[in-house]
Amino acid sequence: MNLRLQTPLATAVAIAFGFIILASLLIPDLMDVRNQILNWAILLAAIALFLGFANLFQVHLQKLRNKEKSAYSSILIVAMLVTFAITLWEGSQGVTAAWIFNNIQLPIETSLMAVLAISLTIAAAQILQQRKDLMSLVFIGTVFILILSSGPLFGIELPVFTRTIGPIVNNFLSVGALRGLLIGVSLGTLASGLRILLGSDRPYGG
Amino acid sequence: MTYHSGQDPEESLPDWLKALRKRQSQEPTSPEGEDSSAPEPDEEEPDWLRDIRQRYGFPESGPETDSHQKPENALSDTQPIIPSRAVETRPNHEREVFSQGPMAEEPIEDTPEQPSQEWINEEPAAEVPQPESPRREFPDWLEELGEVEGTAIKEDELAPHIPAFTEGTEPELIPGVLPSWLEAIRPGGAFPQEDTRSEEMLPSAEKIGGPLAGLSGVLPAEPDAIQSFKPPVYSARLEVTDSQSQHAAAFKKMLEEEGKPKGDQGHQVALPIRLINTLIGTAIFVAVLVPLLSQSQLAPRPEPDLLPENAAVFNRIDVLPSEAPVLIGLDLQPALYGETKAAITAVINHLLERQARLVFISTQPTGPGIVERLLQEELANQPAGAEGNYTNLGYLSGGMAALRSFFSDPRSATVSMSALGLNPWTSPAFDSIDSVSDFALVLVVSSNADDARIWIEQGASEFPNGLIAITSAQAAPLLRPYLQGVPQTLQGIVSGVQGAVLYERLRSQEVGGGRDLWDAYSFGLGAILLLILLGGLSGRLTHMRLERTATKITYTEPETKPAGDQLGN
Repeated sequence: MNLRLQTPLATAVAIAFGFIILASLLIPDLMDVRNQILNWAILLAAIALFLGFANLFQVHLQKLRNKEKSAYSSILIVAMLVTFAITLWEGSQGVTAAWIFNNIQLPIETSLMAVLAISLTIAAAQILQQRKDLMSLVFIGTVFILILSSGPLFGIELPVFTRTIGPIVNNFLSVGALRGLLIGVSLGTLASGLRILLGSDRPYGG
Repeated sequence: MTYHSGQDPEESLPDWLKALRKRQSQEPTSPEGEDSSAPEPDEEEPDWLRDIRQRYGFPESGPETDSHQKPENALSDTQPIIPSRAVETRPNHEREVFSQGPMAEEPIEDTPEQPSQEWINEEPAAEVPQPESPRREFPDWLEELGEVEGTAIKEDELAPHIPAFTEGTEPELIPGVLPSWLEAIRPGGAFPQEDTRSEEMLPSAEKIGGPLAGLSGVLPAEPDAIQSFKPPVYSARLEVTDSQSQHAAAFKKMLEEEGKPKGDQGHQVALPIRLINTLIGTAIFVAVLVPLLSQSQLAPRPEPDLLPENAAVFNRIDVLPSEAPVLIGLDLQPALYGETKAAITAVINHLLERQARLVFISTQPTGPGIVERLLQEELANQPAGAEGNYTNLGYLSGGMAALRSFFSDPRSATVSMSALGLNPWTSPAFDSIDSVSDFALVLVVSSNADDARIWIEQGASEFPNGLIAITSAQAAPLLRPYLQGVPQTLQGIVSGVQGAVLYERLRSQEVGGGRDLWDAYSFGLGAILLLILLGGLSGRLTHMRLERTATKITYTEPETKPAGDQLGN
């Protein structure tokens, strides 16, 4: 029997729990209920993380079966399983798990960030070759001002930038723009919450 | 007029009816007769009927055709209507009895039409001598007809001698000419002069549909309303055109490709560009590496009044009482650990000097690992770090909802340490902590502005003693509005290498992680700025050269065109 109860049931559950959480912010007696619901959400998030791990494993296992870049997939699957088994056995703060994190994951991610810095420098250096318009000039000018006001260059401090222009940009221009951005984000969040509470937006796929 | 028993009703029939019955008797009625006399379809069937049959997909008629598909007898409509129920439902022996004996003794109570149908139907009985015939009633018109012709002869006398039909004695009916007896009984002038037939019966009306389509003067077999035909079969398959199929296939392919991860598509870059990119990378690498290796301290440290938010953090930590519980939320990604490490080390060193009791929690899966690395390697010189006098609650999954739950009731929140079966809250140092407001200070260490924003928005009202942030340089500008807001939801920020150096200066540290990086930071910034400047100038010069060349070509084009024209002429 195929009852199509998914959409109304999911919507009803989402709206009900949304109103409970909203009411618990106003009614202190509902705090225990809210904490219980949030603990359920925490467990579900942890399960979702595990499902993500399982999905990644499945995708690369499928690639391995299809012989599609099987070398990369096999390395990834082996590393994934070994790390998972070790962390499961020792815990996230075990000696081997900490060694893997300190000597493999941390250097790799830091190196990628360093490469990103070089890539951004190359892109900024070539921007006037690619685009020769007003916004490119504004972008390059802003980059110059912020770098000059970030500290001394080659050991030489330029007080005009570090003490005058830099604080003006950081404390007025940047803060003004970001406040507008945050107000927009808040209004968007409020609208999204209302749409979910009213059931007109169903991001849970109902 | 009444008939006596034993009188053959066939004898009282008029001549025209007898002749008609004779013709019917000559028609083949048995299946064998039909089969033997059935015309060959190829010979007898007209072309137009064959065309119609082929057009509508009817099967070819022939000897192998089933009995129910055989064409009806042309004169079958002149036959008396036999009640099918009475004939079919009775068994054979009962039918025999009904036609011969017992029924003769029973009084006939049928309707006036039924006796005539029965005796018309009992053709074979006329040849079989019957001892007695029941007295039957006939319709009035038939009785009157018998009186007119004066043939009221007793059935008992004539039945054995007179056959039911006489062959060859009666003239055949001529179409369109009334027989004499019918002419005699015809009321004179009683017929309407105009044709009372319906339009579809008129000779001029052509048959529109069916196997007789195109013929005129044909009686309709039955009204259109009761015509039964095979209902049309509607296909459940979607009928799409070729264009729609192509669009659907393209859309399906696009959706399938959307789900597939993009492959590593390496493209060859021209050698000069590759050389320039390599030079840029090498220049930055050298500019950062040389000060680090030389441990130079050429760059001057920033003044304390340049970043007042740093001073606010320092002042808040500096007044903490001994053994004050401090909650540190470490939402740091490993990629930005190198940049943030100096600031974290400086602040946590200060906290440990104040003998604060540190409680770590992280909403990033890699957070607990970073905490352990930080305390075991960077703060190993501190007694608390070396002896493990801190609490690492571990990973708190669930993002914003989990943080909200933790802020409401930290003891009931599900963290990775409690999931392992350990209860971190059993330590006597945490007896006084029932909520996050019991912490003397709350720090959030974040490399991402969004993570820090969640801490501020969800927990600012829960922290009476304030919230301070240690962030990367990229997140600081996004958090500055909270720092300058009223009420102030963020009491202080230490961000990036610059913040670390300034914090070390506030603590009167001449050596520290920030100071070690400060020269490399300064030289690296200088190199980046120089490279962007050189790259921009180079690009501008290249464009100017190309534009000048294009101008020359445009200028020389009018001179070359006439030459081409001359050649063409």
